Amino acid sequence: MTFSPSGGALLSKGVEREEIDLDLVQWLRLAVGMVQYLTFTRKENALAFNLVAKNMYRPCTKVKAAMEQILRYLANRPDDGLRFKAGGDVEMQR
Amino acid sequence: MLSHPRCEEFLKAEDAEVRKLTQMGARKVVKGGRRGVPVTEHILRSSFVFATKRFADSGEIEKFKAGLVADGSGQRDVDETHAPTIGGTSLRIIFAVVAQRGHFISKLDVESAFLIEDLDRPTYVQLPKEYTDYLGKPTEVWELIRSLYGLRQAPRLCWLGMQAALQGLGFRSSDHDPCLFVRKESDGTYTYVATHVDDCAVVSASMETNQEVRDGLLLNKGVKWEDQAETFVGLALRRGQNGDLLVHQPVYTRHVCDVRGWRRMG
Repeated sequence: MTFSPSGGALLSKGVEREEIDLDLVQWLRLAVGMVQYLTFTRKENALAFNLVAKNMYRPCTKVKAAMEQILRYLANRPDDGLRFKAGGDVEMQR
Repeated sequence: MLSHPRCEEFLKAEDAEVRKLTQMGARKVVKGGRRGVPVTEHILRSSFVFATKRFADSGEIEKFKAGLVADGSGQRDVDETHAPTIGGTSLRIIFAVVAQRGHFISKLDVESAFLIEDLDRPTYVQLPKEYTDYLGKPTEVWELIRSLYGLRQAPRLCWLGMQAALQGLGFRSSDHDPCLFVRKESDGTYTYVATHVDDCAVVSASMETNQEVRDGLLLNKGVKWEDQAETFVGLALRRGQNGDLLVHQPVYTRHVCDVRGWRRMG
């Protein structure tokens, strides 16, 4: 996946943004704030979250959809976290 | 007056809080109320913050709490308010050390950490008018001896106290994180303490060393202690049979996902 400051895979330059209602924007802000702390143990989610967060300067339907997908993913695997192996390795696992 | 249906419980809690501060020797009552305060000193406002604690299973109210907080925004003479907390990276490194070297991780929680440090300058606080009116007393002003929630320097005093206590036990701040304290033991192993306001994670090669650190900090404070830490700053720690350490946030993750249904989305 390419990584670009414009929003990477989520939104490329020149794509039309479909703006959303203010109450949805507020919901998104809340969700972004809450998921941010989750990236402490959910490193597999960090890139997806980063793409949403950096697009919060102008939220649109695509950002909202991405956030919903992140939450759906997290709801499916709420017990996952960082596993520090006794031998010294780290892996993402439940 | 309070509008809560069970407001008497909160009034009782207010009294308990005032009694606790008195017992701790945290304040002196200024004779003559506002007039007893030197004219050069500011009198801070204060208020009670109310909270209920519920039983986790039934949701019934377990405890009514009232906390006195000063209005720190009225303070003009405080210049140092910096108080660091442990960095996420330091914390993960500690977890890695625990898993790799098979160290023990214990948790220490300082009780009413913001109330135990002595204040560095005279500070005056007026009790909430609603409270003294209810008691039928005239305006009451306190000169604070110890720190109180809401004061601008309260977190810093707490941090300085913690730092001094740990340095007294032979710990030194890491160069990379002021909240990560390190001590080399005589057998060549290292003991680490990560501080996060009133929470500390103690990591060392033996449980005896962990308990020695606890006893060292116990000297001047009341602490809550867990030999095997199960949580730290909202992270659940689970030790596997084979020594693996799983760090995850199952409760918080579920809470976050609940917010999804908080507003019906299209």
